[in-house]
Amino acid sequence: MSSSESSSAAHIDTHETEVLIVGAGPAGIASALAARSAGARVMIVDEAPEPGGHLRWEVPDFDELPLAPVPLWRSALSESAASELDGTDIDRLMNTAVWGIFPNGPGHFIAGAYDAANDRGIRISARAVVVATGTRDRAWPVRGWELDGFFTERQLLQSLHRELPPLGKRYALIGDGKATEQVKAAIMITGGQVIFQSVDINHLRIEGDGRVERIVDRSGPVDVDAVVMAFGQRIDPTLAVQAGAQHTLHVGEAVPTPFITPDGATTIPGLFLVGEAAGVQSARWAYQHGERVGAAAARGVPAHEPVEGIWIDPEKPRRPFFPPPRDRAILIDREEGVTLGQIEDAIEAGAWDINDIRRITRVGMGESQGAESLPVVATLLLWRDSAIADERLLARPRPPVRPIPFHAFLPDQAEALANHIH
Amino acid sequence: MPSSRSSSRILIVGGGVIGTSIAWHLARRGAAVTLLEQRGLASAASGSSAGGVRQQGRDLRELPLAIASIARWKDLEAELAADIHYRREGHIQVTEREDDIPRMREAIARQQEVGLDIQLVEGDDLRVLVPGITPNAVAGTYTASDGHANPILTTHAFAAAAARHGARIVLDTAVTGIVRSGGQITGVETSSGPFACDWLVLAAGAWSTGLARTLDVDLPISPMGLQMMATTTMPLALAQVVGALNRHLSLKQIPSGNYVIGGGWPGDPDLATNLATPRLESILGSMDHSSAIFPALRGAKLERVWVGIEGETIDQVPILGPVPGIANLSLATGFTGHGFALSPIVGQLLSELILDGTPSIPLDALTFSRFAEGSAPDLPQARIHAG
Repeated sequence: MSSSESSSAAHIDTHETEVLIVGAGPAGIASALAARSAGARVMIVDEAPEPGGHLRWEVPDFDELPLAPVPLWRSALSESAASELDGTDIDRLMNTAVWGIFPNGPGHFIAGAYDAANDRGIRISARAVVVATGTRDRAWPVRGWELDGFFTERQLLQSLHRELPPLGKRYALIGDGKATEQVKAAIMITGGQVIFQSVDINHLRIEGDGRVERIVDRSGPVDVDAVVMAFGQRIDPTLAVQAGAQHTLHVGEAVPTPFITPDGATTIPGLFLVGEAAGVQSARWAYQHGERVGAAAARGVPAHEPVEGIWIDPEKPRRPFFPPPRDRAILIDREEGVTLGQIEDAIEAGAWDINDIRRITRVGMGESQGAESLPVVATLLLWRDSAIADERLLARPRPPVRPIPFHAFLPDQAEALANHIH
Repeated sequence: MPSSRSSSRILIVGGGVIGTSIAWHLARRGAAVTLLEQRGLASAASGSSAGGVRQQGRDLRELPLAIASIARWKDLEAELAADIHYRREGHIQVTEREDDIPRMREAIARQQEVGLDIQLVEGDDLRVLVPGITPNAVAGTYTASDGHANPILTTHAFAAAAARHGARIVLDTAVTGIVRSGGQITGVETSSGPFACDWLVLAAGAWSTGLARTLDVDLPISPMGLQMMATTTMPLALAQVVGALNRHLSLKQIPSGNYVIGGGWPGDPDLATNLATPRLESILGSMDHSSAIFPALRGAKLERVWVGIEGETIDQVPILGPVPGIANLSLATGFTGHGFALSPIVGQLLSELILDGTPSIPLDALTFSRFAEGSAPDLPQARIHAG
């Protein structure tokens, strides 16, 4: 590219920093503080309006609960985590989503970001990047999950924060044990009731005309207003994988996961992965991991060969956590409307790997890029052949991690045209 | 050996659209064909192609092949018994500068001489033909018989048709060495063991260079990362493939409603991992150029960016046919980002070369011999990256 072309991005606001932290949850906040303490200039970016990560949605201890139903609650943990950033000179960019990290020569990265509040594109130039993007809800196909009124755990918590539902709303809960505690508490304090609960996903069916009206199990139908799936969370290291970090398969979750050292260093010098996104469980451990990784990012660590993560146990059978669905009519991809039957047919017809299946059936080709559906496809392949090479199960994530509007990244066209022609 | 050729064992290295087309054309004539692919079908350049099926703007050395190929595309879905999303709705290369028009007329005349049906469209006619084009576009060169198709479906359709005619398609099998006895190749070593052959076809794109080097053949091909982008789905509004002079642009809207945007924006390829990394500058530049020419894209959302690994020859046209000194080797490689449209004719011509000894369209301008010492290869002409 000539110099005039490579400067085509000059119109985009550019921020410069030494250590860029993506995600302002417990791991991100701890990383930012540690990197700053080590003397680096630090910028922390999160798409939420304020720091705290998923703690912002969490229901506080019962003795903190208000007496009447309220749509907004605050977690003490979230407040204290966020307040740690106050009084520091760490740059904060809130309401801003980092949608791609682009290595730009040794020890230099350019991140593409989008400031939703001001509807504008941003570039961030950094010496090191710490990916602290946490987890996303596990979502597993069930008949009727495409209907309005189906939520995963955090989708429900976020919706209850936005708007208080009518009192007495009837919920069906899919899931059991600890993973459902937050959902149950949130439903209770917003005046709803759980009237059905099951974990037997292969014998459940959600029905309704466009939206959830009832859930059916082996003992018959139960009328409900909403269905919530609470199966816990899985790692979301997408940004690091997409940036080109060497990675392997997290067999249990059937998703890609980068090779990292205990310091969170990926195979790309200067790119780090921290906290729950790196497989660390619980906010407390994520925070401690952040203290270590933030310091490493500030001082820089040498390049390394791929290191197997702590969660990979070669002795264990290669079995994903969830069994694959069996009903051929079930939608594996709710966005693109791709059924299990279509995917099985593509495999029978010789589709070689997950990318092949993706391009032939369009599973995972929608706006979410298969965040929900591709782990299901990888699981299908693993259950068919547990010896299948990891490489064939690793769908390549592409930037942007979610769609971004062109107009926020364009120069003024009249001016650009004038520059272009003359 | 022509008489025994149809019974000889032919080995094709490379499971892209070129290798599978060659396999189909050989298998349909009863040849014993085995295709070896190191990963899966269309896992490299073919899986990343923008899918342009274009004649105009090509180097004159490959234009006759493009014209003959377009004639084949018309019936290809019936021939392969597959829906490959072929759309024949024209290709237009526009300009925003009046100054370009004389140059465009000359290019049209040169291409018409070779037999291409191409015309200049100006002013209001341009806006009628392509309603969404920028008001700044003053003229365009238009070929009604150009279009686009889905490269992945096409590759799979070639392979499936070949398999129905007895070809063996062997995936997950990387060629590690070529066994040569004097001027004759006798087989290859692979990650799945040895394969013997009477004839070898190299159609391995950017990976061809390394394979040829084991025969002491130095192909002037280097890996090139080409970036593509897709928007989220939008209402159908663009029938043609649109390119633009003085811009890096190839734009089309595929049947699902997504716009697919290329045009030669660079990414960074890694042959060892078959992964390639996009560049932010290329993404922003591509957004800028595409929405300048097709303003509806100002309202688009970018959904996905990817980079294909292509083999780029030093003079920008492919290397087809024999290698001096090796009696039973054929090349079909180095397509430099514009091989997809040529795939039917290249399969046909290579099958003719191997089975009959002579292709029905001469390949002289495209053989490896053009790089021999003493011959001066043509310098690349102004090129269009349209996939």
